[in-house]
Amino acid sequence: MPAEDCAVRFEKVTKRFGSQTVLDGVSFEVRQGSAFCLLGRSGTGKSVTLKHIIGLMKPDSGRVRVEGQDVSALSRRDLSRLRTRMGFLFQNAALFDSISVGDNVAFPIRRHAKLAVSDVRDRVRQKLEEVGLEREAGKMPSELSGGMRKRVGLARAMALDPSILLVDEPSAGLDPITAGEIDSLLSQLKSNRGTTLIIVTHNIPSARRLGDELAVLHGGHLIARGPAQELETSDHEVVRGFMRSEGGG
Amino acid sequence: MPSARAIGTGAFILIGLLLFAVALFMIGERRMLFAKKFEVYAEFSRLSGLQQGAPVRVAGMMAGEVKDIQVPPGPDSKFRVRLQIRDDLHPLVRTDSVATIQTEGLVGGMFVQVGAGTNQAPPAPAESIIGSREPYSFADLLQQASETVTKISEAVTDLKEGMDTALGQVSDTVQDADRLIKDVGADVKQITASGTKVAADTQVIVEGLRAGRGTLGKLINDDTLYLRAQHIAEQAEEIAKNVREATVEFKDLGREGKEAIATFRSEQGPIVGAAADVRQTLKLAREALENLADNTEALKRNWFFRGFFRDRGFYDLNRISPADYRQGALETKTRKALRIWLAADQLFELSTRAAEPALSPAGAATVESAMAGFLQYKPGAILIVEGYATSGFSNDQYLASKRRAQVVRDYLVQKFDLESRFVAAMPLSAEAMGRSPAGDRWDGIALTLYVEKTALRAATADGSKNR
Amino acid sequence: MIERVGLLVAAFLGWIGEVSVFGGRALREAWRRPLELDEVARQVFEIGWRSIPLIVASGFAIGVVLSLHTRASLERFGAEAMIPAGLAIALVRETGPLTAGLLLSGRVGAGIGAELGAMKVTEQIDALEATAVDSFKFLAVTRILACMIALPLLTTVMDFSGIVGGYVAETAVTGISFWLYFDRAFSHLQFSDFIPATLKTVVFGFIIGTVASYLGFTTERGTEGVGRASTRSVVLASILIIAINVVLVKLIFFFYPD
Ligand SMILES: Nc1ncnc2c1ncn2[C@@H]1O[C@H](COP(=O)(O)OP(=O)(O)OP(=O)(O)O)[C@@H](O)[C@H]1O
Ligand SMILES: [Mg+2]
Repeated sequence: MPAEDCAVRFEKVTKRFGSQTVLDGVSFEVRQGSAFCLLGRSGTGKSVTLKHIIGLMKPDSGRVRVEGQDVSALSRRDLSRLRTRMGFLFQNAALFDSISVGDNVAFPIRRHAKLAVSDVRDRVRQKLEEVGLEREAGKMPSELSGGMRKRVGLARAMALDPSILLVDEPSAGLDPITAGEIDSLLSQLKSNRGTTLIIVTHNIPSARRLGDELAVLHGGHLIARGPAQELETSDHEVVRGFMRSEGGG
Repeated sequence: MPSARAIGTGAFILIGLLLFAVALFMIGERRMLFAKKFEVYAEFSRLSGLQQGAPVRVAGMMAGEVKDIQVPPGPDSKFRVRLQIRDDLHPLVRTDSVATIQTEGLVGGMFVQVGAGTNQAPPAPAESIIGSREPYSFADLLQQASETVTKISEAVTDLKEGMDTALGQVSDTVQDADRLIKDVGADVKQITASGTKVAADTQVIVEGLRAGRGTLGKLINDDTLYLRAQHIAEQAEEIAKNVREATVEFKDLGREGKEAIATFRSEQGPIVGAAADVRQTLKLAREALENLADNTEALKRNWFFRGFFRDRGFYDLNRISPADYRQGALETKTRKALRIWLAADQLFELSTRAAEPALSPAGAATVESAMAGFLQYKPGAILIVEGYATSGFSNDQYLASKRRAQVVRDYLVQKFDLESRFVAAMPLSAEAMGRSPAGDRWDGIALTLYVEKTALRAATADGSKNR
Repeated sequence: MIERVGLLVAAFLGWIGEVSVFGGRALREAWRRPLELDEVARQVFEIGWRSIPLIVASGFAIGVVLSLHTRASLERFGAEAMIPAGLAIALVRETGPLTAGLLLSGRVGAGIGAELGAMKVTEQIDALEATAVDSFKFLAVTRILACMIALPLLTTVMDFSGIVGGYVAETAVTGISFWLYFDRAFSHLQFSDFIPATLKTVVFGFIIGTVASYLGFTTERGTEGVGRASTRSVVLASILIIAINVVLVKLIFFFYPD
């Protein structure tokens, strides 16, 4: 696949924490406008992988390219510019807990989009509606349930209509109905706006539905990569185990 | 509508800046940064620690500051001090205004005081030099007065000798000479006595000041005290001048011999000519010196000095008058008077009671046993032997009380080897200090010990421990 | 034993070095765009305005106490008239700036340390970075600047509350009028008493903001780490303020010998 078609491309990325090697020469690429689902057991380094994409972590060796640019070699300003084109949903939502839900969603808009106050308000309402939380705009993050926080985090991640959306377990802790709504929201983003999605999830049905490509991270390596059907016939036991499972967040 | 937070932020910054500005303004007001000003100069040969930036007051009002001090090119010229003064006080600063360097309070710094001038004098033009009075040191001033007075005494002694010689040369006028010697002699004696007294009094003050802090703020600030001291010094100079003239005249007289002396005599009428001048001079000198002696006495007894010496625990005991003593010259808040009354008939030989009292052996024993109780507080405490006598008129009482006190004092000093500086006899006539066993009056003596209360407490504590 | 002490010293020196680099970086970054003025204003509100009750109350109490002490010592010299000036000088030159600095390091230092520490452990700082915001500028620089702006103003407020406290104590004894007291209080003050002493609190503010932000940013190990960041920032900021004050006082004396 030519580099310019790649939204994200890992080239032999290795990441260690002390003596623990979390990523050991991981390579993959995500096509622009596609959805990439990252599976893996807990603690295998999925969140770490996402953080590499947005430059919160830097590889010890190897390279992470986003839209062709080496993330760890970017200047602060270029990194900032790149980040405004990305949205990131943290696994724990990471809402700014000193400001209201509405302000959380408005935060990236106010900082990066030169919009009139009323336009900002409209955009915030629209994003909150998309996650079904338009009524909670005035609440403080501490007044929300875990699932609600997650959805606010998603609204914030989408606030700037990013071309690459990184989501860390979007439906974890959500009831099946809401989880389904989030899934369809994400698939709409992909189809309507051409947003590249990189989704970490444990929810295999959802991964099947959303993912153009699935990958399984295990022991620091991507042990399998490809469309859902391909993975089902994998000869790797862990991969098959994943694909057989139904539940998860 | 801005948010409450924005209002709070704004309010905070505004309040802070406003207070900051108020502080700057209040300080700047002192520095007269915002008022119109003019400048004049004053010259001093001694600055007494005056510094650039020191405040300037006009007639006591905060008026500006010392802008600059120019160091004199040589020892015979003066420091030139540039004074910056608020323009609205200009009408007070006249050509006859006098600048002085003064101390602010007891512990304050130096400042320049510019006295308001008089209406007769025109306002001092800006950049002009106004009059000044040197910062004075009290001790210096009094020392000078004291030296002058010593010179007077010497001059008078000179004069007396000159006169004796002159009169001796004219043996045929022995009678007249005697009369003259007697007349003039009385003046001379009085002059010498007053001179000695002035010298002694000023010396006490000067020593006190030197031992103390030299230029004490409160003392030096009190203009009346200063003026008084200055007056004393001037008086002394004046007298010295007159006496010197008289001496010269008298020596001339001696040289001119008999004929000149003859005019001194003049059986018929008043003494005329040069001799009359000399007599007049001496008379004036005597009066002036007596006056001077009163002045120094008054100065010495001034409240401040009394307080000052008393505080320092030092008092020239022999110079306390009975009147002052009765007023409580030795009493302080921290000091307690312990008094033991001893009747005259227990103390003195009956035969010699009035004129020359002598301690009887029994009396000596009585005094000793009375004193024994005091010894634990000595040294340091002041012992006053108060003498009392009830018989005769008041002058008899005074003399008798004085002798009695003196005899007992001398005996105690000798017997117990007391430091004589701390033991004094005090003639108090008949009226008792406080209540005596006989009521308001007393005949005999009272041993009075002035002891610090702290020492008293310590001694009591010691005593109880020993027991 | 000696080795342990050596290690401690080395650790402390290393810490000082890191904090200095952190602070130096903050001073450099403060000039770079975006200036984050909104956030600075917000922090001035949090740090300044919210501290006013504490500062006013403490200043008042200190004024009362200082006045009683000044009275006790000046009365002996018969210099009662100097009480307001003596109090004002003590307050403006040293007590006000130092106490305001220590109080702020207590109130705000702990606050910043805890707040940033919590933001760190809940990934909010990462979230800021992910939204293309320079978290160092947005969180640390703004707080450091706010401390530097707020503290001199708070010190001035404290000086004035102290003078009012002194007035209340004094008028209870002598019945002196407010304006006379106020006038006397300023009678011996000079610019060189007020301006350097007040402006030196900018340095105190810098220390408080820097130490607390540094400890907040380097918080690890969850909630326990947050508590530690908060107490440490109070302790270390206070110690540094007291130590640097010695240098500053010396420096001020050097430039304004009195
Ligand atoms: N900042 C860090 N410092 C040290 N180790 C870290 C850090 N972040 C992650 N790790 C380690 O890296 C490993 C991978 O962590 P990561 O959060 O990526 O797991 P994960 O795959 O997202 O798991 P989960 O599905 O439970 O979220 C873990 O063992 C974790 O201990
Ligand atoms: Mg994770």
